[in-house]
Amino acid sequence: MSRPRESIWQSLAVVFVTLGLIVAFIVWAILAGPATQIVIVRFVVITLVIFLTILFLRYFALLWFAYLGHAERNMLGMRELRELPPVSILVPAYNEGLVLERALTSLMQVEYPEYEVLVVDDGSSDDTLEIAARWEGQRGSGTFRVITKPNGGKASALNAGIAHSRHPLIMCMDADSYLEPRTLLHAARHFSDPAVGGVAGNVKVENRDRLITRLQALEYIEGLNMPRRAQGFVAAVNIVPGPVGLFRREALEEIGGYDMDTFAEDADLTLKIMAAGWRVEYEDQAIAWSEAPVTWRDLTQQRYRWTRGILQALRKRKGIFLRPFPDFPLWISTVQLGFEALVWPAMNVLAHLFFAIVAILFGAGEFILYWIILLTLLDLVAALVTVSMEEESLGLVPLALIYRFVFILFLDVVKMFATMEELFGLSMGWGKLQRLNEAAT
Amino acid sequence: MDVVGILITVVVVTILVTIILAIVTYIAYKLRLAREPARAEDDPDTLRYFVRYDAPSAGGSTLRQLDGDIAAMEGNASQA
Repeated sequence: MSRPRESIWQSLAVVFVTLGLIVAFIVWAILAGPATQIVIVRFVVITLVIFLTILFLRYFALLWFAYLGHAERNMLGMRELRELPPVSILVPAYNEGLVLERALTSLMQVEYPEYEVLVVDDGSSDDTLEIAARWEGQRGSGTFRVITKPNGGKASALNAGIAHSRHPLIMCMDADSYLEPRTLLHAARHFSDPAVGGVAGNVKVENRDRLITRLQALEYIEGLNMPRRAQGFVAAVNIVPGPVGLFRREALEEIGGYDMDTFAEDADLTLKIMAAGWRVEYEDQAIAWSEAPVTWRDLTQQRYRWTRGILQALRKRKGIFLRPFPDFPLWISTVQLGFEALVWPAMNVLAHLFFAIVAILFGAGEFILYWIILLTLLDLVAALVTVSMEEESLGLVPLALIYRFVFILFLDVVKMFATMEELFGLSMGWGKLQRLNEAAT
Repeated sequence: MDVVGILITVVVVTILVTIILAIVTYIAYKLRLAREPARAEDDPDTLRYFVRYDAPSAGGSTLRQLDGDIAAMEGNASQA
């Protein structure tokens, strides 16, 4: 993937033009006559009422369906498989020498009758290949194998892994993640339903020693897993996450594996599987622990790539937006993905900015305060419910106090700029994150 | 200033500071990208640090060519 140098300056131009437009609008609104100001305020208030309505509806719908999914699983129990099919676990690795050993150690401890681990070295320049090669052979009930190929990106490494794998179920994971021992057992059970093509696992943040990573831990539970649990209730999970996803080989072969034209290969693959008519479910006990970015700049880099990658995957499937039937779950799942990537961040940032400006200029601070208190209460309730569902640490719940109007606001600013860059078609690179392997040190 | 006033100030300042910090971080991220060297494999025809070696196509292996060079050098040395 090339990254022409001039795109940096184009990116900065996008930032400054956006800021310039916002400032120009504010100045124009202040200097305009009273009649124009009334029109502006009415327009903005109507927009915000719509925004607030959508926000509440979204929250309650997600909470309700997530609860239904949770209750269904607990009351009816999981489907049982008479026989557990063998699984191939793919570990694509590019310069992951620092963390690969830990991932492979976790795979040795997997509780499953028969599985193979296939490490795909994607042309690493560090000691990834040497470390992986030391693991080759039979370890417990798993067989470890290594293949190496010239660097071609994660999607190409996964495709190479699929081509070299042998078993009917294929688990894709990241080299910087590690699995709980019973993850495979929990995920594989979903495949007793022949219509299931993929199962999304539950990604949790492992390094929770800083405020930024604790906020991400809460975000994974409340912002990522709760929607996934709700989508799982209708078997239409729109992103099987990179760190833990189990797929039916037949489904992967039918859709031709991963495409290499987006930066969110997990979202792209999931949409392809759903569009081919397969069900995609969620399994909250299929747990993978992942290292979250520890600096705001690395977090920015990660979310920039996610946002643009999701938009690239959606752009390939524009037609779905206009076809709610016959596959309504696919439509609602795609629309939700589009709304949360494209519309929501901009609405959220502009709404907060508007409230702050109105509070300063027109003294409507109490209105803003009650709005923030209301949303914070909503976040506290959602955090409490979702943290309880996942039997996670209740110590994460108080973070909901700053979750929305600090953490999410920060991320939404990044997403807004990433969206604009994608709309302008600026080039981008993968931007590999720095690994710390803090759990091992 | 009463409690409500203080809370309003805290909320408004937090919102504005968060937005400003997010913009600054985004710009910092972009500037960091600008300072990173472009990856060599982006364009395989343009190698930055190495000269591509093309093995001789006719007459067998590189080793045979090296043998010839060494023999010529030894001949020169004995003449000297």
